[in-house]
Amino acid sequence: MLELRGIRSGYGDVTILKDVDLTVEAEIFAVLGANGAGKSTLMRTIARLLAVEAGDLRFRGEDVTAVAPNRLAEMGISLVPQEANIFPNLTVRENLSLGTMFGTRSSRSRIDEVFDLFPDIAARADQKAGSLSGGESQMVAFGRALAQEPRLMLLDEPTTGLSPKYVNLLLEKVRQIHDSHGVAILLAEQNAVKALEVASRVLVLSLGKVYLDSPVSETDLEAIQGGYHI
Amino acid sequence: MGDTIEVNGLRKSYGGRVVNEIPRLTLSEHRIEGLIGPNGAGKTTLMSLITGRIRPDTGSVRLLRDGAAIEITGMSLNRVARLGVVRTNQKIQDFESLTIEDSMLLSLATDRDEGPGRLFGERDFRERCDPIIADYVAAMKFADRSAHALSAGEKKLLDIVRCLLLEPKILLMDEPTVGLPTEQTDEVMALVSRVAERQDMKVVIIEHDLDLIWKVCEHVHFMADGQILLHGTPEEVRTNRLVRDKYMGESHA
Amino acid sequence: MFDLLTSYTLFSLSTVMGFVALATLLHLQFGLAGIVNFGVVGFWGLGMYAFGVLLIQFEVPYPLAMLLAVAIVAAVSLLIGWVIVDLNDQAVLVATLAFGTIVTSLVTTEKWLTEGVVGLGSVPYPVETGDGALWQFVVLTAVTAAIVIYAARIAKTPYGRLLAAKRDNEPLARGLGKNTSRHKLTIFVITCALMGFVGTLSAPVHRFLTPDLIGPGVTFSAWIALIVGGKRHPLGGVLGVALTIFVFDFVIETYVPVPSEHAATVTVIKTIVYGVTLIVALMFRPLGLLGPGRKRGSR
Repeated sequence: MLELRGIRSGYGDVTILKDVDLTVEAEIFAVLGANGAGKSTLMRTIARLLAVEAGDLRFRGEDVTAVAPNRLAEMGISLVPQEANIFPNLTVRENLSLGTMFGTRSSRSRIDEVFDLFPDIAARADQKAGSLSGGESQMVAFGRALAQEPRLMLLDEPTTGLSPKYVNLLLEKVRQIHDSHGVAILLAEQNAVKALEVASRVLVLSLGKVYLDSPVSETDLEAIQGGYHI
Repeated sequence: MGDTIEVNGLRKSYGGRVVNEIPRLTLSEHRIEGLIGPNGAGKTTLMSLITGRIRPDTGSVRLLRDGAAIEITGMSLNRVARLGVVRTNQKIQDFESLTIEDSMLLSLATDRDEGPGRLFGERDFRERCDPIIADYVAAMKFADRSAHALSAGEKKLLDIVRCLLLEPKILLMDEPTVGLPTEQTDEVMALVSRVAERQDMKVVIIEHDLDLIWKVCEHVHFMADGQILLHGTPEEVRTNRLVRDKYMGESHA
Repeated sequence: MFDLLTSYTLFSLSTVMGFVALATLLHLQFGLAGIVNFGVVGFWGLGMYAFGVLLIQFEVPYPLAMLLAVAIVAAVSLLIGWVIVDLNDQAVLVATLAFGTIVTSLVTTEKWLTEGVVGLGSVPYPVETGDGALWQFVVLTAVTAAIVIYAARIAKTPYGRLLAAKRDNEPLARGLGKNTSRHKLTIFVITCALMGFVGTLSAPVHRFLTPDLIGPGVTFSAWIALIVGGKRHPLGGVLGVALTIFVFDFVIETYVPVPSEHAATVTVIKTIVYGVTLIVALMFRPLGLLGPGRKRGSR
């Protein structure tokens, strides 16, 4: 579904990702690694929010290395960024409806699905998203990505600030949309144990390079932790 | 004994929705306390009310220090911070143009160091700060102190360090583990505990990482729907049915 | 004196030097402290006119008139600063822009004080010997150099870091116990008073004070120079003025023979070139020639 070949990217003069190769099929891919290893950079590069300095990016067979990010969203890639992931001056409902610009099913039914999943934000549907708590904002950001009916979800620490109950709920939902719709998911998490509970494949980044890329069933925790100690 | 915070008849609402309603609460009677509760319970709002970032509709917040009560309701954020009540941020925040070292120097500068007429003495100031900064750079494993904090985790660590450098009497930590891997969280909390011991600092932690709460806190407050529903030892709170139903969901039961 | 320093070249160079001072003060206000002052001409013009009026209409002794004029600018900027200190950037921009316009209007309408468009004259040099213009230029240069050196130094002190922190993220700075409102007000009043001081030094350079000296063009020229040169760099104002105002108001006006029937065209071309330069700078070097090429992002 998604192919990265020799990807290099970063910010200004600072190169973060160095020569990353990666193939993602319709699977749940846990993206792990220490701080600064390049997890967020990887997500943002795939979503084309960062310029690709070198290498190719292909999505569903099509070369998207130079495709605009809005076009990628239309093609079915949705991103939940780690920071600044909601529109604070729009209401919760408006935030979610932004996720329903493309796709087939009615906007209303998709928004209602999100509200069913997270009753807490349903109660705040017409409030400005900026007045929500950290965890509630996170639900809105995830809900918006979900409403996009994506083929590939890029989740950058989506459980940040969520209570334990919702962490489980969100991860359960991730597994469910993968199982029922064959959605591919890249899931960056600090909590490796939680991520591995739902993932089928694991990617460990270290200093901007792929340290480990293997099925979860064939990976032990010690091998993963090696990537944190470089 | 150290400082404690006393809240009386505190109430705050936004557009008709009551987000905080706390008749009476004493915080930081213990060295390290936890404040837990579901999303939207009003935990962050409570911290904002205490630090003066926002004003309550009614009620008061007082800082009890050496037997005296200092009214801090309505005081500005910077004055409350100068009194020694400081908060680390839930959302990742940084000064875009300051390097890691600059950020620490900013924290370490006192009112006396900062003035439009103070053109000299920078070298002395840096020399004075250098050992302190070196300690924290080593403890937090910053690779290059003259660089900017780039990753979310580095920014988070720097935020915590900036607060610790102020040598607060009460440190409020709003979700310190966000953006940090588990191992590093442990290191940070160990550091915070050491500082707390050494500088007679109290700590209140908001966190969803309950393992951390049960491990480091001596006392835990449980909050839901803007109210404090329960206090107790970690064991008491963990085994409480209300907490399980409202907060943890089945899998932790 | 030798040919290079005719009275006209001295006049041009003094004008350019005044702009270097204004652009550098604007660097302190905007580049360092993040205060969007669009009323530069108001503070400069108020200093100039207050000095002229005190000296000529009220016959106040020369140094005292300068001192009083600066004090007036300081008092006015304290008042304005107090109003705008906790407003957002847009509101500060509008308020200061309005202030600049008010000063220009009052100077035009209050003829009993300022002689209006007829012009207030003539403001003498402090020493009325033959070299008055040269000395005035030397003094302006010294004052400007002092301001530039101050700007370069202050950035590397705790106070400079405090102002940068305030500019980047004010609530976060307050959370660290920094009284950003007070510091903002202090730096604003000091720099505005200095703009007024530069105004008092510019008064004898122009000799005849007329309202068209203090149009919004002064503010915009200082801004364009600073943005082109680099708002964050203490030498940004110097470089920016050298590339814009110096080129047009000195090099071209002095050394390029323009037929008199095309003289008006030069002014128009100047405005166009300023505009294009500004757009190009914002597109390719948003932080100016002395700033880093691209804004560094965050992960």
